[in-house]
Amino acid sequence: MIEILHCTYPQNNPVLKDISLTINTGEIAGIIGKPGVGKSMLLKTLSGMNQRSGPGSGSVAIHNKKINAFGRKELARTISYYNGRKPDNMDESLFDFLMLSRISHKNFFRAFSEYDLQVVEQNIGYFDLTDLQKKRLGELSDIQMKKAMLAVSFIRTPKILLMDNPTAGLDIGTIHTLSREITRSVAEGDTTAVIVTHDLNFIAQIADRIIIIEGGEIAEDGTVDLLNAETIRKYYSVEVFVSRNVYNGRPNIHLFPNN
Amino acid sequence: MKKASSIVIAAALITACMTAVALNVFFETGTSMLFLYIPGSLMYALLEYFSQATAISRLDYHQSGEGGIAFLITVLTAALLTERPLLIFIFIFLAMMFHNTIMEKILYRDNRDRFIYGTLINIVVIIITAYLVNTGTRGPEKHIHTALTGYLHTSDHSITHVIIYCLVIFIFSVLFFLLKPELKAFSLGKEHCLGAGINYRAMSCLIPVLYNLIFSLVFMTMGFMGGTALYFFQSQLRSGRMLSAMVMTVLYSQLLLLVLHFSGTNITVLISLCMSYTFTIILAARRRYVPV
Repeated sequence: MIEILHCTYPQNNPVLKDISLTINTGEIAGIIGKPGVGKSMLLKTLSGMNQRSGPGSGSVAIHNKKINAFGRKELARTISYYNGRKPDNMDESLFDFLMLSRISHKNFFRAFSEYDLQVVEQNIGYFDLTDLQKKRLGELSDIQMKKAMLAVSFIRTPKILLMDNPTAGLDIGTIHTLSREITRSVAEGDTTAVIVTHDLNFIAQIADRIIIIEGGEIAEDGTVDLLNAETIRKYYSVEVFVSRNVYNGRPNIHLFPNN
Repeated sequence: MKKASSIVIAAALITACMTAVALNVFFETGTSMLFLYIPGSLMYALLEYFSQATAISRLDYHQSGEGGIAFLITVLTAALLTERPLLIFIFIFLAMMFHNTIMEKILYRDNRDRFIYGTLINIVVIIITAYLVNTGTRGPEKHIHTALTGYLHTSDHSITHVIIYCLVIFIFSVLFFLLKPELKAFSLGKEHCLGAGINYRAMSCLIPVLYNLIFSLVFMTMGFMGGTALYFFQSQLRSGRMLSAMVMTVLYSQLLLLVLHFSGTNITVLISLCMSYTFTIILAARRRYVPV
C-alpha cells in the first residue's frame, strides 16, 4: 500500500495542492488529466524524489513506513520509477545496462547472483531484446531504447511500479508486451502499479482504478468506467465515442472524424 | 578456442614485454626510469579502466589537454617553488581538480570539444617549451626533460618506493574490480543511480578525486610517455582481453624508453604524441566503444 497525506509541492507556487491518496497493494492505478496539471509531479512525489530534493509539505508512506525512513537501497528495491529518460552513458552494452538494474539487489563488493541473471534474461526475452544484447545503447533505435528502459523497470522487481507516460512513442507490439508485463507483475509479485498516461485506451485495458488530476488536485477517483464520453468531454474538452471491448467489457475510446 | 587464442596473445605480449625490459637493461636506459615505468604504466592502464567504467573521461590525457596542463604545472612548480616530488604531485593534483571541474562545467563531456581544446593546449605547451629551450632559460629548461618523461625518477627512490607503488596499484585494482557495477551505474546518470540505490552526490564528489589522484600519479611517473592505453583498452576489451590491454600498455612504455635512449627526450615525446593522436584518430574512424 502506498499512501500520500496532504501533499503540497513545491512549497512556493505549488503544482500539487494538498493531495491525499491511498493506492492498495495489487492495484493498477491510472493517473490521467490534461498536460501540466501535476500528474508527473504526483508520480515523482510517490517515488520519494521530491521529499529528498526540495521543500514541500505532507508525507508519503509505503506499507505504513514513511518514505524518508527508507534507506537508499531499500527504496531502490521497493520502487521502480520509469520516466523514459535515457542514461547519460550510451556506450554501455545493452546487456550490461540491464544487468546494472539489479544493483539494488546486491551488496557492495558482491557479484550478481544467478537469480539476477535469470531475471535479466527473462525480461530480455519478454521485451524481444535477445538479438540486441551485445549492442551499445547508442546503436539502438528510439523504440529499442524505450523497450530496454521499460525492461529495466521490471528487472528491478519492485513492489511499487511507477511509470510516467510509458507508451509514448511505442509500437503496438511493445504496448501489448508492456500491458502484459504490468498485469503479470501485479498478479504474480504483489506489485502495485501507478501509471501516468495520456493513452486512455491503454490504461482503460489494464487499470483497476482511474484518478483524474485537474489543477493540482484529485478531481475524480473511480473505476475504469470513469472513462466515459461525459468525463472525457469535461476534462479534455473533446467529443469522443466510447464503445466496449468485446473481450473484457472495458471502455474503448474513439475520436469522431474531423468532418 | 577463443580462450586459448587470448592466452596465446597474452603470452606473446608478455614475452615481447620481457624482451623490451631486457633490452632496456642491456642498453642501461636508466634503472630508475625502467623500474618506475612498469608500475607507472600499470597505473596508467588502471586510469584508463577507471575512466572507461565511470565514463568520466573518454579521451586519453594527451588529447584532453590534461597532460599539457600537468606538464606546465610541473615545470613552473619545479622552477619557481619547489623541486620536491611530493609537493609537485600535490600541485598537479590540485591543478587537475580545478581544471577538470571547470572543464566539466564548460565543455560537459563532449568529446569533440575536449579534443579541440586539448589539441590547442598541446600546441600552446609546445610553443612555450620551444621558447624556453631556444632562449636558454636554464631554470625551467632543466625541468622540461624530467617533466616530459616523469618527474618521479629524479627523486632518490629505493625499491621500497616501487613496492609501495605496486601495492597502491593492487589495492586500487581490487577496489575498482569489485566496485565495477557501482562505478558503471554512476556513469548512467543521476536517475539511474537513484534506481540503483547509490548516493549520486557522494559518488560525483569521490570519482573525480580518484581520477585526478591516479592521473597525477601517472603523470609524475611517466610524463608524456603514455597516451595510447585508450586504444589498447578499446581494441582489446570488447573481446575480453583485459590482460592483453594491460601488457600492451607496459610494452609500449618500455619501447618508448628504448627510443628515449637512442633519440633523446624531444624526439621520443614527439613520437609519443604522434602515436597517441594516430591511435585516437583510428579509434574515432572505427567508432569502437567498449563495455568495461
